[in-house]
Amino acid sequence: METPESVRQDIPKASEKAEGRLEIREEPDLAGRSERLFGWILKGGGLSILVLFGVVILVCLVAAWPSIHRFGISFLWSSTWNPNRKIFGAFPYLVGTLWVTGIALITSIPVAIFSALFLSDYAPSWLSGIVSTLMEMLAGIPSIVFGAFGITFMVPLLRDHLEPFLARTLGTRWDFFNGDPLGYGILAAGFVVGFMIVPLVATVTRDSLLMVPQEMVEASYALGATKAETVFFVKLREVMPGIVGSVILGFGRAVGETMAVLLLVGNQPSIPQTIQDVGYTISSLLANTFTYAVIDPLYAAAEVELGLILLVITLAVNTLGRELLLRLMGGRLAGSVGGG
Amino acid sequence: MGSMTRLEGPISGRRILVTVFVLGILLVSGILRPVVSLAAGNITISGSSMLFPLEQVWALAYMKKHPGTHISVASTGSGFGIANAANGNITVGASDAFLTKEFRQRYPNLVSVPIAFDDAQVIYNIPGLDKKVVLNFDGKVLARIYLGKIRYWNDRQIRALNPDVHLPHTRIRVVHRADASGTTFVFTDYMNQTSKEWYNQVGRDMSPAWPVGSGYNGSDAVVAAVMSSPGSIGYVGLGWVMEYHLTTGALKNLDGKFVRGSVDTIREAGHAALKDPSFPDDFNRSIVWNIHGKNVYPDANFEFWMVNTNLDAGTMKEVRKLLMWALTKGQASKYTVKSGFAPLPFRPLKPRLDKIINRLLPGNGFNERSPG
Amino acid sequence: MARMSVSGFYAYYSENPALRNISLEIPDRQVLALIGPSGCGKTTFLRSLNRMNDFVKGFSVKGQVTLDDVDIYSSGLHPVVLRRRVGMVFQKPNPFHKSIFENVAYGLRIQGVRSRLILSDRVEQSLRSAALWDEVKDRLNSSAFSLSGGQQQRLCIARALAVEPEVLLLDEPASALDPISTARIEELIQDLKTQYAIVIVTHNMQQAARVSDRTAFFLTGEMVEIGETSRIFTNPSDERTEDYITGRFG
Repeated sequence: METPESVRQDIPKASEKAEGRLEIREEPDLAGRSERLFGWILKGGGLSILVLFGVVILVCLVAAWPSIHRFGISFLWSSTWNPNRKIFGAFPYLVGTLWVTGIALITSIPVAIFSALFLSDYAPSWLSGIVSTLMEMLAGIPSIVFGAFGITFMVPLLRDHLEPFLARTLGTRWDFFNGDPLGYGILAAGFVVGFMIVPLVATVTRDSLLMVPQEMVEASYALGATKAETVFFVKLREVMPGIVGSVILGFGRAVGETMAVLLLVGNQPSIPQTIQDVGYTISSLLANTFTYAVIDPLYAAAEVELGLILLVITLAVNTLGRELLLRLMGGRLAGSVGGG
Repeated sequence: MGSMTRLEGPISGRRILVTVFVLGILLVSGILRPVVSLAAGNITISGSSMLFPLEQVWALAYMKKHPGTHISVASTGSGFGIANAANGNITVGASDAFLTKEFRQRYPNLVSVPIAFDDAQVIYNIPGLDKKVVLNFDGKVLARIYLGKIRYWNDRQIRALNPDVHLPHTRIRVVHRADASGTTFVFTDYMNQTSKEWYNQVGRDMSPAWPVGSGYNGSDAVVAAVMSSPGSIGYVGLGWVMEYHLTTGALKNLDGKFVRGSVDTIREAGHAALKDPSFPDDFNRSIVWNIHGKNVYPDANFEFWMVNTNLDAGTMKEVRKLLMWALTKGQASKYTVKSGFAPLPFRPLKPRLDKIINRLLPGNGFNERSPG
Repeated sequence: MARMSVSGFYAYYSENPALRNISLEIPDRQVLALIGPSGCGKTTFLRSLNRMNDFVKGFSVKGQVTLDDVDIYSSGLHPVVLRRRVGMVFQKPNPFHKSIFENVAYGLRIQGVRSRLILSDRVEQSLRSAALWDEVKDRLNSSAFSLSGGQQQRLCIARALAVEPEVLLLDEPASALDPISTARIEELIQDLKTQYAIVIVTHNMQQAARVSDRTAFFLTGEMVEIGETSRIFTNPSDERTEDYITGRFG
C-alpha cells in the first residue's frame, strides 16, 4: 500500500507543467521524456498493486457476503460448524490458528535468537559459514517436506516421549498438560511451523547483529563489560527492531502456513483443552474443504469469510508490529536528526 | 486506502476506485471466468480423487484405441467435479457421491452414470489384539464410537457384538477424513441409515461436522494415522484395503449377517441392488445398505461420472463412446480391480444404462454387446 | 606521580610493526596530548593502554605498560578489570539505544550494582561531572538519541566517569562536533583533569595546545618527542616536530 503513494509524490504533475509554465522546463527533452516514461512505469507498478489489493478484497467481500449477512459478528465466537445444517462459526478455527501460531513463535524465537547470536558472535567463521548456508537452505525447503518430517519424526517423538512426559510431570498438577498423547495435534503442528520460522528469524537477526556498529560494541567493552554482557545487554538491544520485524514475518508465515499444519494438526474443530489436543486452523480448513464448499454459496461464503479474518489478523499484527518498530527506532531516528 | 481521495493528476482517486469496482464486479459476476474450450474429441474429466487412478489407466487405454480423442484427467475432489460439470467448465465430473435431492434441484441438467463399485471399510489398530482378528460392528455401535459415546475398546456394547474376542481397556481414538471425501459420504451414509443418533446429530455428508476424533487429508494419511496410533479406528475404501492388506471390520447387513468388504461381497451387493425393483433408475441412491442377501456388504457404493445434458452434440457423441467403452471393456479387472474397484455387473445394469444414455442422447440406447 | 608508565613498547598488526619502542609516563591529574599525522600510531597507542586492540585479529605487543606498577599485559590483570580502571571515550559519540539514565548506569549495572539509590546518585554525579546534568535532568528516561551530537559525546564521557576510572582515554573526542560543542568538551577536560589522568588523541593542534599539559608527537609508529606542551609548540627539539606543528606536512 505504501509504494504507490510514495511513488506518486515523486512524480511531477504533468498537467500543471504543460499549462503556460514552459519557462521552468529546463531539462533537456530526451532526459525529460525518459524520466517521464520511468515515472509512468513506476506509477503503473504501484497502481497495479493497489488495484490487485482492491480487487482481492472486493471479491472476497462479495463472496463472503452471504455469511457476513447471515451470521454477523457472532460468526467470530460461534463454535458450531455444520455444513449439513448450514450453521457456520469461526471460533474453533480462530483458536486453533492462534494456538499453532503461538506455540510456533514461543518455541522458535528463543532458538532463532540464540542461534543468531552463536553465528554472529561465537562460532568460528568456517562453522558460521556452513551453518548460515544450511539455515538459508532450510528456509527454502517446501512446507510439505516439513510436514512429512513432522509425521515421520515429530509425531512419534511427541506421542511416545514428550507428551507422556508432560502428562507425567506437569500433568499431575495441571490438567492442561494431562491429555491423550496422540502425537498429532497443536503441539506437533506448532513445533514444525516453529522449525520453519527459525531460519527466517535467525537469518534476519544474524544479519542485524553483524550490522551493529563496532563503536557501540567497543563502548561496552571500554566500560569493563565482558563479551556475554556486551552481547546480551548491548547488541541484542541494538537489534531489537530487526528481531521484531522478523518475528512479524514469522507470524505471517505461521498464521498462513497450510500444508505442514494440515498434515499434523489433527483437523478437528474443537477447542483444545490440553496441550496434547488436536485442533484446526483456518488455512488448513480452507485447503481441506474449499473445493467442496464451492457447491453451496453459504458454505463457500463462510470459508471466504474465514480467509478474510486471516487477512485482518495479519494486517493487524503487521500494523501493531510497525508501531512497535517505530517506538523501538524512535530514538534512532531522532538521533540522526539531532546529530548534526 | 483512505489516502486515495487526496490524489490528483491524470489518474484520479475516483477513477481508481471505479476501476477497482468494475473489475471486481466483472470477476464476481463471472464474465471473466476462464472459458474452457470443449472442442469435440477433447474430453476433460475432473473430480473425485478416489476415481482418479482408475480414470488414468482408462484414459491411457482408451486413447491408444481412439487416437482422435484426447482425455485429460484431474483429481480435484467430488464437489468440484459436480459443480464444474454443472456449469460446463469440464466435460465429465467424477464423484463418489450420488446426486442428492439438493444437488438435483440445483443442477437439473446433470445425469449421473455409475461406472464402478467402491465401498467404505472400517480399519482399526488395537494394542494386544492379533492382527488377524476381525471385529464385528453394526451401525449403532459405529455411530456411538464416532459420536464419542463409546470411549473404550472393551465397552460392553462392542463386546456384545464380539463375544469371543478379548478387548483391552484402551481409549478409542477416532480417525476421520479432513477433506471432503466420497468415502466419508459412504461411511456416514451407513451410520445415517442404521443409527438414529447419528441421523439426528451429524448426518450424511462428504465433510460432516465430526463431533470427536482427528482428521487427516486423504486416505493414505488416514491409514498412516490409524497404523501409528494405538487404539485408533478409521475407514478407507476397497483400494486402500487391498493395497495395504489391512484387516477390516465386518459390518452388519440387513439380514443380520456380519460381512467384510471385498470385490465379491461388493459385487454381491450390486447384483442384489440392481435386481431390486425399488432401486431408482437414475441412481439417486448409491448405497445399498438396505439390500437383502446373505453375503451383501452393506456399505458399498457406486462411483459416478456426472454428465451435463447440455453438452453439444459432437462432444456428447464422444462422451457416449467413452461411456460405452468404460462400462464394458473398461470393467475388466485389469483396470478396475487393479485400481481398487469392483467391476460393475453388466447384465443387471443394462436396462438402467439404456435409459441413462437415452437421456443424454435421445434415441441412442446402450446397444453394445456385453463384455467378453 | 605516574599513574601509567610505558617502556620499550612495540605493537604489531600481524608482523607489521605499528609502534616502535615507545616509552613515556602518564602522570596523575595531567592531560597528555598525542599528536601526529594520520597513521602515525597515536590511536593504536591509546587503545593499547586499555587493551582495546585485543579485539583486532593478529595484534600483538612487546614491552611493558604498567598501571600502578602492575603490568597490564603480562600480570594476569583481567582486561575487564583494567578497562574499569582505564576508561575511554571515542571519536564518534556512541551512546547505547537506551535511556539517558540507563546509558550512564550501564557500567555500574554490569558490575552488579542493583540499588536504585546508589545508581541514581552515581548517575547524577557523573552527569554533573560531564556538565550535562542541567540539560537532561528532566528527561533522564528519554532515549539517548534524542540528544544533540555534543550532548551525546558528553553523555559518553559521563558514562565513562560513572564506573570511576583512574585514567581517561579520549580518542579525538571533539572531531565530530561543532565548534561550540568542542569548546564545551575542552572546558570539561580542564575540569576533569583535577581528578583523573587524561590522555587525549587529537588532530587539532590548537586543541592540544589549549587543553594539555604535556604533548607527545608520533610519526610513523615512533614517538619523536615528548615534553611540556608550551615547549613543544614554541621550541620543539626535533625538526620533524617543528615541520608538523607549523603545518609543513600532515
